[in-house]
Amino acid sequence: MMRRLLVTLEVGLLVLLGSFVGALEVQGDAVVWGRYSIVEKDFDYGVVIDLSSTATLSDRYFGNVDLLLKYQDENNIRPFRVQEISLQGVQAPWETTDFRVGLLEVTWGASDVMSPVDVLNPRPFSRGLDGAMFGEKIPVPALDFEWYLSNTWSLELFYQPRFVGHFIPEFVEEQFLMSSFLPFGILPEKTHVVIVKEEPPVGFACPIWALRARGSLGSFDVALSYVNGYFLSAYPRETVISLLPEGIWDVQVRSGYPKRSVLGFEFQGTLPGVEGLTLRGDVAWIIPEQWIHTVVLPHGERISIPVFDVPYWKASLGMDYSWNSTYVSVAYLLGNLWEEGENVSPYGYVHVDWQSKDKKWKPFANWVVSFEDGSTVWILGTEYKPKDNWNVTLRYTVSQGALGSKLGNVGEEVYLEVKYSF
Amino acid sequence: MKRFLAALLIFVLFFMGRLVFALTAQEILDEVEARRTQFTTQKTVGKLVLVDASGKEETREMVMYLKDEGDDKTSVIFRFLSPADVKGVTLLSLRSGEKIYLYMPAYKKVRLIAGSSKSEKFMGTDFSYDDLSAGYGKEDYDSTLQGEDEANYYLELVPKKLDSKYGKLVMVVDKERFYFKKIDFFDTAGNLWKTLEVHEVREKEDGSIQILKLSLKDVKENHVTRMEANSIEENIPLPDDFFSVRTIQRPTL
Repeated sequence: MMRRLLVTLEVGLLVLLGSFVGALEVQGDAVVWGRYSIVEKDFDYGVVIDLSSTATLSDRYFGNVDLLLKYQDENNIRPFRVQEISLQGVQAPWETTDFRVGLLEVTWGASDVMSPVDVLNPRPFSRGLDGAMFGEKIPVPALDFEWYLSNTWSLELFYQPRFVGHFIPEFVEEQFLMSSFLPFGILPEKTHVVIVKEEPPVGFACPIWALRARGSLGSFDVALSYVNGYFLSAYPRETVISLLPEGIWDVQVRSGYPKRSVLGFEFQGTLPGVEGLTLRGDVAWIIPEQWIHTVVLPHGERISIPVFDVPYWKASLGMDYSWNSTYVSVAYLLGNLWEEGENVSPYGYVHVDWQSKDKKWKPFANWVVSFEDGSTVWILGTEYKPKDNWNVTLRYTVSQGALGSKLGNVGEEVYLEVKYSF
Repeated sequence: MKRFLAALLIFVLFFMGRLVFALTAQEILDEVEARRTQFTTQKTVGKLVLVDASGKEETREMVMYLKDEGDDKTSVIFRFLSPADVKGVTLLSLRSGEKIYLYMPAYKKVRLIAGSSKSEKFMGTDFSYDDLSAGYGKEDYDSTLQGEDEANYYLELVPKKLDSKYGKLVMVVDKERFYFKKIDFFDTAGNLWKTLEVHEVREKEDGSIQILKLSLKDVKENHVTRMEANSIEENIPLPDDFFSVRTIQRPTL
């Protein structure tokens, strides 16, 4: 019932804002990309068109629409995506408040990479280390309300009455689960898997909610946040394995989204006397619901595997510096976007870019290292801007590390992207 | 009699000469400051034209808000309105660059810009973040009058800050209307780095000078940014919290 109401509301918003589209100024990007995996000798390509528009309903109210059209040669999943449909109020309904309501994308955190406090939106599936992996998010139906207590301090409330999780194609989820069943002697090629996901009991009366207070303390901007919600990836709760007479393994998986609370702290600022250096960082203390995965083997034996047991830290702490058109950013990461609980591990991250005098070329290098197993990823490339509104990115990615290491399976690929903004 | 006239002529010439050099560099800068259009707030809509070494031009439309914060400090909000790939990118400089923020709509978040970044160029223009922050007050320089002719005063300004990126500035001030027509910026090695020229001004009824067109040339890179104002509104009512991180995230300004 509630879901139908929400869908009706979303469709209503779409129709309402869609009615303005004819009279709106639409802007966006068109991206054509190609990727060649050197290891798999596989070429992928695709097109992405991002259309966005803002309708000025009055001097304080705006309608925002952001739509994404995608085509790619393989795994063309969700070719049409709504990135945002929202009603925005500026100094509304009161002078000291702003709000957005609708399907929202909300970005929290001060750090540039893998912020552990930026956990309100789920993310789409991506095969490679591209923009979809780091930048794209799936919008959620929510209200984002900010009350400005002064020029520099505000209190933000986020209210989400329907749960939306990360999008992972079923075949990817099956592959992931299969690898965890190998210790039980189950052969993936002779297995039939059924995954049943239970969505969390989120509704208007029991929403996902979050609070954030942010402001300035001297040369630093800081924020303290609290998120009361759920993990955005599903985790198996119970798996029943049986051997069918025809010699096929039948695996019935019941999975769900554990509850979690995230206490976050974010900061960005400069140190007096240390000219040119900006410190940015986010730290999260995550308190998960205790979550046990019970595996029932064919002969009836029950094995309990703890998934979440105790609270844990995640962090992204960095500093950046720029001079003579060169920009350097260094960060320490505790956990990446997908690592949770006991899987959280430390990484180092370095980014360097340099812009040519004519502003057309911007070569860059990224280096990520796992401090746990020493595996690394190098991303070397350049951006080229032949003229206004055109941007070309070419990059080469290569990883080093043993099979099963943190970064060793990223592989080796060449990626080319041409973007036109309009 | 002849000797008396000669002595009188010498006296008059000497006196006139004293008159010509009567203004000190500081007084000239004070007069420039006094003749600068006075406002508490200002809104400028205009365009930036970027000209590369081959003469190719790219145009960026912009809107800029200024607020005189007193103590020679200015707060600035600067937003690109076009082209599409930079539309909505907004700079906030509080109190002449005490804090500088950049809002990029694509990332939906506000970044604090580091100290050294303030001398970096802003979005492909020849203006640094500091230039846009109006971060150069006359109290920041030791000034000397180098000379003059019928039309102009020639001043030399040496930054007081030891870590300044500029070694000196040479300023040409219009004698009649007291506005700077040209400023040559020299690096710390004494080489000409940038030249700022004012091409069009409007003299208001109260005698104050409003700059309508100027250009900034990076001599080293042979790149020019022209700034042209289509409209300038002064003393517009803005809320106290307008120059804030909150404002630069708004869809429209």
